[in-house]
Amino acid sequence: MHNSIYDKRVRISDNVIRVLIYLSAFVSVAILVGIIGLVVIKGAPHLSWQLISTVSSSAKNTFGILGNIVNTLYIIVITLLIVTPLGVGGAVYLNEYAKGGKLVRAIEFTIETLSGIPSIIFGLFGMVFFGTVLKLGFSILTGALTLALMVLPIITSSTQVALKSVPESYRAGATGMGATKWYMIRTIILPSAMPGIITGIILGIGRIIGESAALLFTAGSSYYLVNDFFGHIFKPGGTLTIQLYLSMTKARYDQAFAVALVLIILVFVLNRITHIIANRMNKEKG
Amino acid sequence: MVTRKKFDYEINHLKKDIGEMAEAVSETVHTMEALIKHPDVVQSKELVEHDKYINELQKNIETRCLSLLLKQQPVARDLRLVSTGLKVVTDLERIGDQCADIAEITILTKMDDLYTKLPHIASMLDHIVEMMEQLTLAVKNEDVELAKETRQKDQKINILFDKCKKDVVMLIKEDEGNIDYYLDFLMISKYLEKIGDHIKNVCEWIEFNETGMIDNFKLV
Amino acid sequence: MENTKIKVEHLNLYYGQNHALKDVTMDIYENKVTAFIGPSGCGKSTFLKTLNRMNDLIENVKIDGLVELDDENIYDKKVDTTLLRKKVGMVFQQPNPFPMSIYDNVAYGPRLHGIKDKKRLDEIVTNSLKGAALYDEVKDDLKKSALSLSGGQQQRLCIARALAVEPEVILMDEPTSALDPISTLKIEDLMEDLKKKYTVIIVTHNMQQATRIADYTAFFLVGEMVEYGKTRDLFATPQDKRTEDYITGRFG
Repeated sequence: MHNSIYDKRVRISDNVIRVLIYLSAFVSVAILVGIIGLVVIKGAPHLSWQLISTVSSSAKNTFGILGNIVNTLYIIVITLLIVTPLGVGGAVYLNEYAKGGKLVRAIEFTIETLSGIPSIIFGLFGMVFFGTVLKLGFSILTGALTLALMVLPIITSSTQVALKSVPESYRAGATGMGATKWYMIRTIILPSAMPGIITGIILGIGRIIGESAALLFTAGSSYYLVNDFFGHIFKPGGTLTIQLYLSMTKARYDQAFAVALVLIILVFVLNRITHIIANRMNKEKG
Repeated sequence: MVTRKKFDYEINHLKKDIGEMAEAVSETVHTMEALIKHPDVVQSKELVEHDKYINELQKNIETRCLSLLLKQQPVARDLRLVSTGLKVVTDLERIGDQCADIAEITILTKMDDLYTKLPHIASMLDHIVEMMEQLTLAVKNEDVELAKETRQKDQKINILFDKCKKDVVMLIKEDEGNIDYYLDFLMISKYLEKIGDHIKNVCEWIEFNETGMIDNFKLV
Repeated sequence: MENTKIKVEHLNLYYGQNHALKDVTMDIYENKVTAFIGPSGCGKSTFLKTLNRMNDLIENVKIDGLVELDDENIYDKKVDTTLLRKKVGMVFQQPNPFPMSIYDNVAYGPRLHGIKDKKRLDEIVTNSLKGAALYDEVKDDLKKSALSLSGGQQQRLCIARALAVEPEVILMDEPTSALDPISTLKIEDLMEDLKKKYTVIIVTHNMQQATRIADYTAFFLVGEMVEYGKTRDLFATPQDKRTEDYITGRFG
């Protein structure tokens, strides 16, 4: 019976592809698990309360990264405070107000180029422009401004993608109700684009946490705690990544792995927090 | 620009069927005329048989119309045609029935005296035959003008019937012994008058098919 | 006696070189349902959008001629489009509730026009949902996301949203073309009630729908309004050969 459907065949190419796909998935996960595993195994023994609750003291010959943790959080928050309105605003302009044309293409080209520039060049520019010309010196603010330039393309482009994915029917609906452009953007477009914007912010945080080259010559490597909350931003301050770099140059791999572990935990925690905030926003939307 | 082939085929078929039925009825009317002039048992039976064929045509047309309504939801000229179809078959079928009724009378009753006793019957019959022929043409050619002309002739039929009726009353008064005989004459003239009415109705529907109006009243 | 709600005279519309509406002249009557029919690209949707100036959003559009709403030229320089669109609401082809709760969707328009009082908003939301024959289906959970409703419910929500600003005219652009037959019939049923309070103008591809719901029908062909009249007349005895060919399906 040639017409019967009871003739299950083994299709070799299907199986080969399936094995390859499983293999690549396995390798990716294995690499990630390997890295995290190594960091945890090497770093965990050196993780201590003293490490995360004090700053290094040469007098007591102790090592602590509280200052670096605080600096990292400062730089993240300040950078985001600068870059989010700028990036989102720029994207809203490009997508909602600008009507195509040369200017828009020029701006989009600039933003794309910005994201391809090596970070050390941002560091150079930040040091000279923010540090020297604007007289901000080595400071967290100089570092944050420099990073803001670097993160801007990320926020702008992910916001733009998010804005483009807002259905045209929402715009037509709001306009049809008589909404003005800004009212529509505020009440419909931005809330709908929020998940995309949050994704951009998460990517931005990743970039900020991972950056060392651009910070070394702008925010410096200071690990001290400054009690003055607002004054802190005008003082130099090294992030965890900078400290990690310094520890490595001093061949203190025990310290380096401990810092690395703290970094990984911090990234994880920040991601969770951002997601929770995003989810809460989504729920409010209904 | 023809895009609804199947639909157009059905519509054309419907027109053809209606034309065919009109022709069949026209034939019956002719036979009926012949029977009045020369009663014939065989021919009379044939006429009754023929009437069954007409009934069948009616059912076919009705089925086609209802199926078109259901499947195609016709509008405009198509809607008018389908409703015309549904209406005219009833009138055409009634004409057939009445011819059959007359045919039966011609067998049961002696027809010899009819023309002499009721002189108007002859012209009534002539008018009916002519109207039916015109009607058939009007149906087949969708000729509204001819239909209008034909419809107006019904007035004459009614006048002639009134005269026949008066003649019958006189006949009965003079010759009470043959009441049944004269009543049959009255029946024939009454049937002819009814046939005239039905022809008039069909004519009106032919006009409706074109204009959507009946007696200057907008139906749809 | 019919009162003219919208008066259109010698309206021409161009998309760049494309002459999309050609010398359209018609009166649209108050408290009636008027349907625009015609093949795709005939200009019926474009014409609908000129009635609340949704075409303003498109570049390269040039309009001349007159469109009057209650004797006021809607293309006058003094016209505030927000106020115009409050008077002339719109319902679109695809149900497009905003990604927020049922309540917030309906309250969107009133809030936009400055109503903040909670009690007042509650009242408007309830009445609008009732007006769109949706209230009984959603009254238990107005905080539910509008996107969780079925397509037919979403479209009735959009109608409720349009009703909430108390418009005088409602434009509907093929409002049932994305819906199942039962939802479609519900919305068609609704039209009977809507026209008691509003003037309804609907673009539809479905000619049977036009015959069911519209008091007046206009037939458009390549930017021209070919025929306009009582729906019964247009579908029983069309005066123009092109109308007849189109509605009887003999249009290639």
